Amino acid sequence: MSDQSRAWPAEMDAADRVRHVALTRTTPQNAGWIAEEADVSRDTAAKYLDRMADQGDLEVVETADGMCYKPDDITQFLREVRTLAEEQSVDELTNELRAIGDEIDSWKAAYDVESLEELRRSIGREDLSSSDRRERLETIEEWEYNIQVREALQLAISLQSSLTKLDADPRIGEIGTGTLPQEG
Amino acid sequence: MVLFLAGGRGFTRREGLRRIKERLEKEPGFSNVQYRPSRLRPRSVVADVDTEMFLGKEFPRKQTTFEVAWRPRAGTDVQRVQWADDAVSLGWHKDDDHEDLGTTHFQIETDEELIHEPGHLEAEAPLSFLETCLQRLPARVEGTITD
Repeated sequence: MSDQSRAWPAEMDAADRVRHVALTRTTPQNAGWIAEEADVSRDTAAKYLDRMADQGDLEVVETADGMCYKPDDITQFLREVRTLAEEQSVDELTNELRAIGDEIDSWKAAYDVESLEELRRSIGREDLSSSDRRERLETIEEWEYNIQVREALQLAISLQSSLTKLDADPRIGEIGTGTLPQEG
Repeated sequence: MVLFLAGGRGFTRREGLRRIKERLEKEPGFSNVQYRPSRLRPRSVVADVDTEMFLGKEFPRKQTTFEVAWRPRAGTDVQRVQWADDAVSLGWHKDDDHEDLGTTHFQIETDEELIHEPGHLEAEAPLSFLETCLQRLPARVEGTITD
């Protein structure tokens, strides 16, 4: 890769660049790769990456390329659910669920399939042109994305509901202490 | 646990697009910066551009739409940065099209023609890719009135 083909916003310092590169990866990458992308030294990258791993933001995995880092899926997901629950109204969350459902229905109709699995299987069909195949692959990725967001939205609604109940009726906590084991 | 087996790409994607939106909100001439199709399920970030404010000089076409799409993938991410005004649509695309032109190709389309060129842009981080495009953009846009 050529360094000449990269630029960074002026206000981003080394830590911010490393953080951005590391948190937008899908496959694990080692400190050397992340350092090159973030335009920092390898030692600097390793210092920030280890700190992020200690905080649970990154997962560390051993690969053929040595010790590698990727976003921690569970941390990312739980943070997302919490943000959705805290920042959105139940109406907004519900409307988004409806929009996701409508879009998936439109894909089912457009491709004449009943499920994401059926659309995946259709990629092997011989009568598809390369552009049809590419369009279907793109839809598969967006469909998967919709499912992931839907999971977070559903959990955020549940979390909101739980928090509201706990806040509105503190006796729930007292009832719980009578029936559940004490944990300090 | 199907969700976790599928990986955190959906939320990785939101992280990248959130930073792209913040960056575009700081760019001179950019306004009405929004997620599409929605804030809760972003696939791209779109903005209105006051062309003269962005270029810092007079320009015959006043209003532009700017869109940045980013989709993380195992290996090479998909990223598209697109400028569209009344006369021309141009941008840098990192996707599976035109692999013979490199990881990223530059595309410029008018009523008369559609041209693809090598993009010479290898950045994987969404903000770095965008920043490189923003730096190259003024020359490319100004080039459309002298060509």
